[in-house]
Amino acid sequence: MTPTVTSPIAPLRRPLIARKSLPVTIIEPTGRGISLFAALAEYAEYSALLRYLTLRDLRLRFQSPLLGLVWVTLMPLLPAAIFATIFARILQPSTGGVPYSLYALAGFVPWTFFSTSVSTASMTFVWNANLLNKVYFPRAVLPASAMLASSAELLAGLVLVCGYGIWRGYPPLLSWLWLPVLALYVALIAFLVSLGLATANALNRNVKFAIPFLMQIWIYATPVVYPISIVAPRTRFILALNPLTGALDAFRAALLGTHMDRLLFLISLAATAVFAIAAIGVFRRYEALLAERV
Amino acid sequence: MTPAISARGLTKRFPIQRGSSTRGNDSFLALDGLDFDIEPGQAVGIVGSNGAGKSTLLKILARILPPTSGRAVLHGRVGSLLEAGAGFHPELSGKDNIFLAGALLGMKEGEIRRRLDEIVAFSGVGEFLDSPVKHYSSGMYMRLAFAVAAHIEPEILLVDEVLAVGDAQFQKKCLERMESLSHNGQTVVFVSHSMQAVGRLCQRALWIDRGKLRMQGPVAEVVAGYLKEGLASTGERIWPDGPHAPGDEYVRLRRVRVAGPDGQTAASINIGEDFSIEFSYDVAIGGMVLFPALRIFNEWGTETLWTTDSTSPQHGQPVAPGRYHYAVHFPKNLLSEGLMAVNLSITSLCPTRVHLSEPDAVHFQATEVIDGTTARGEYTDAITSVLRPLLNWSQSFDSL
Repeated sequence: MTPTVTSPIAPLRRPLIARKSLPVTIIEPTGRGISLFAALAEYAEYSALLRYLTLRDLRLRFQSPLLGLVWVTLMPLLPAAIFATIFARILQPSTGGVPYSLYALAGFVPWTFFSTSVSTASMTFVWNANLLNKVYFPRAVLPASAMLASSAELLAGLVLVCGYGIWRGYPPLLSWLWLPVLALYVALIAFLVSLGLATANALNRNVKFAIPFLMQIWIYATPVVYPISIVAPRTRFILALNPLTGALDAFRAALLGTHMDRLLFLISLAATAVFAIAAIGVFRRYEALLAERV
Repeated sequence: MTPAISARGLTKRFPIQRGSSTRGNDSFLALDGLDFDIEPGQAVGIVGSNGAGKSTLLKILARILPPTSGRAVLHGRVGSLLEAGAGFHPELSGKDNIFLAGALLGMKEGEIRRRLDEIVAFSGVGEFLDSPVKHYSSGMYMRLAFAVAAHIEPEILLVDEVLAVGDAQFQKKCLERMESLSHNGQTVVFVSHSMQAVGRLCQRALWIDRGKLRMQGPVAEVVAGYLKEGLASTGERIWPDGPHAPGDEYVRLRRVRVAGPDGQTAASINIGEDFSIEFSYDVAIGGMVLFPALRIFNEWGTETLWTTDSTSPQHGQPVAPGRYHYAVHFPKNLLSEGLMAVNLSITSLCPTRVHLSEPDAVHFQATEVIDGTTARGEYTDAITSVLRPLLNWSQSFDSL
């Protein structure tokens, strides 16, 4: 029987025998959220949503496929060309014999992907405020799909830089097999940074003004336009705290067969783990509040 | 039997945001310790006036907002339909949007594929399935949006007022669909301003009044209780004590009332006669330009009209401190029948600041005496339009 207002209400106890087939949702104030394991299981349930959101973004970006392709090619090509004509002439950095234009392009391909995907994915909660307020779904799907849609650029960039490498006399290497793995690693870093920034952005709109500055500083804190070897060894370890440092150094090494600093890579890997704990922690702390705060 | 939804002490407190910063202690209690159980297979209507907390309750059950305290336990997959077309993208085709919206509502790809034909048939978009939804008429758009949501078939379906849009025929179709869902043993929780829809669809109802559960029980009893209070309201509200009146440090509302053609306070008006809405407020700090505005919502929650003091000679002039009295005159043959809620707001611009916005400043029942002088003339069937103007018709006739 349903109790009415006038009758005393029995205290709620967890039902002893719940019908097995029915999932149980417990709604409680924040801070007593579901376990990380249960959360991940829920993301698996919503994998179709991630796929369709990614497809939507891709379809909208490549509505005119040719123009879309020109655009994604120009994105890393243009800054690489500018740095190759100006920076290389003035500073003449030692790139271990690799033509500077190829060296810079190999840096700008992952960097452009990182910076565009972070710039878009970190806005997803704000852009989808209405959706957050009308439908429940695991929230991290939004930045994740924006990042996945950007990886079309990374793919196009990989083809571009490999093609340019072959043209400049760098034959395909066995280490190219590492490139997809490293691309995934860069994508993971981009997702973690986006997740943290998107949450911060939803809580405080001023964050969005800081993101362009952050990207401008970040590009120089990453060996994109310069080889890590020109940096003093002690400073190198500080730069390695930036997860992208190790990722880009390894990316270049795999692509061009240049020397790879393994210690730097390991430090960056550890830094990524710290980023992951921080970003996921911040996101999970505020996840339930996103709809009302955004 | 285990209840499908069981809530104990469900409370929601919202911080009140002033400008860009949130002040420490200012908060608004939207829901205050709700206790209720909903049995599986029941259709339950949630009724209450605007701003009573109905939508907040639905959003908490849908996991969009977390409660501030209290707890609810839901048994079964939960589907929510708080806005038809949530997640639709104008540039995508109808078909792509079906998949996207379906996934958003928690459907698996296979499920959507299996139901695709059913969804398309229900929506009736047929040949337009592959064109972008931006080319759809608003009716087609709504039909498609509801069609997706109506086919998720979760054990618990939460529905908020989506039926307020769309034509009468489509509304009927939606209600029928929801009826058949609840006959299939699904639990339906339905928030609506339409007592007719609640009465038809639901067996039970919850009446929420200012965040508190006022009454729950069989739908007929609850709806009768709710409507009776709307009718019994005096047509006037007065806020005697300063800081508790709606408003802020600049402006405080004092009094709102509905007056009939004789100038007497009236809880119900005849749509075939003139009436007015009068209100008074105090301005404590002057120098700003204030825009007092009235909005009238019908019982479906549809905004019927908006009006501000644009015809007053003082319109757009900075105000001095003091008490201001307004009377807004409404001509006869303007509104339709039904329970009307008046939203009173006072805003200043540059920077935009809403000094007060009282969703249910006053209620009144608009009734109609069918004597041939109103817009309906001798026509006696139901009319669903929100306005009922008396327009000039002319006719000419040629014998064949």
